[in-house]
Amino acid sequence: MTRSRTSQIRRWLYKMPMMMSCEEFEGFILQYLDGELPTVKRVVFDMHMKVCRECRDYLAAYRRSIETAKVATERQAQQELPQVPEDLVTAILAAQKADEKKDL
Amino acid sequence: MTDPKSLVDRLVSGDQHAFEELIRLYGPRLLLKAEQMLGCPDEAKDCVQECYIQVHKNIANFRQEADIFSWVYRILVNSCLKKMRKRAAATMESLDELQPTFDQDGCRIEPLWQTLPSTEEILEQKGAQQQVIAAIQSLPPGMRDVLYLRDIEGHNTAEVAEMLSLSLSATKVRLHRARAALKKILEPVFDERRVS
Repeated sequence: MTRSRTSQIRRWLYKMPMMMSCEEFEGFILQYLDGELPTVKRVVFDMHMKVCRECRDYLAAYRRSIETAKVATERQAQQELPQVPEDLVTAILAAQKADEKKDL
Repeated sequence: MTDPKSLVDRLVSGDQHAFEELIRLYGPRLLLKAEQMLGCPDEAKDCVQECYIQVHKNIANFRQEADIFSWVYRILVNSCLKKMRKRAAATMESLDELQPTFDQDGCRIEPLWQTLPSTEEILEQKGAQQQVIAAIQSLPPGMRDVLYLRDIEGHNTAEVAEMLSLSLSATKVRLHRARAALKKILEPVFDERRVS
């Protein structure tokens, strides 16, 4: 089936009772992922996801981005780190001396 | 290898070499943490510097039975959070161009994936890890900080709101917009599997 035909069906389908549009779906994503959607809303959300490939793919990529960001950051922290830059060491020592003088 | 206990003793006695040793010992980990939290190398350096000044000032109050790294680390995180709170209060870019799009009937306009690559597959690609880190850092600070604390550090949304002195609703809006923008920026990394 062509994408334009699918789009026509989607338009018609989302106007049915107990359905939501993709735009409304977008507004509930955060609550859905946090498990905070009331039961009826959740059923409607799930139903939309079943019939809408665009939203299904969107949500999958949205979740995958979050997961990838977390794993990439964790891996970065596990890698061997370069030494602390010399200019930073010098700056800290100078700031500490200035701070000591100020307190005298 | 430096013994943390003797290092603390030397610090408390005012040994200047011990202070420099402490900078060199924990500096790399603290700098990376600050860069990850703030997404800006210069601000990260400022926070690490501020952290060490606080350490030097307060070392006499450090409880010897505690872990020195954890103590220093906590001071750094607090210093970064202070900076994040300041940024959170500033005006935020909306990043409308990176938000999802819909047609006039509210139908999503979205690329379709034949199969979405797994996180492992994504990060196996050459340079992908750096691309992902750069994508996070490219977000405006007011959004990036919420995403970092919520999705990378794993705090819940209410905790993030409190940490950044934001309302819960503002935090949720920022989080969702940051996630949507991140997804959009990362699409090229997922791109190989896209349906034409």
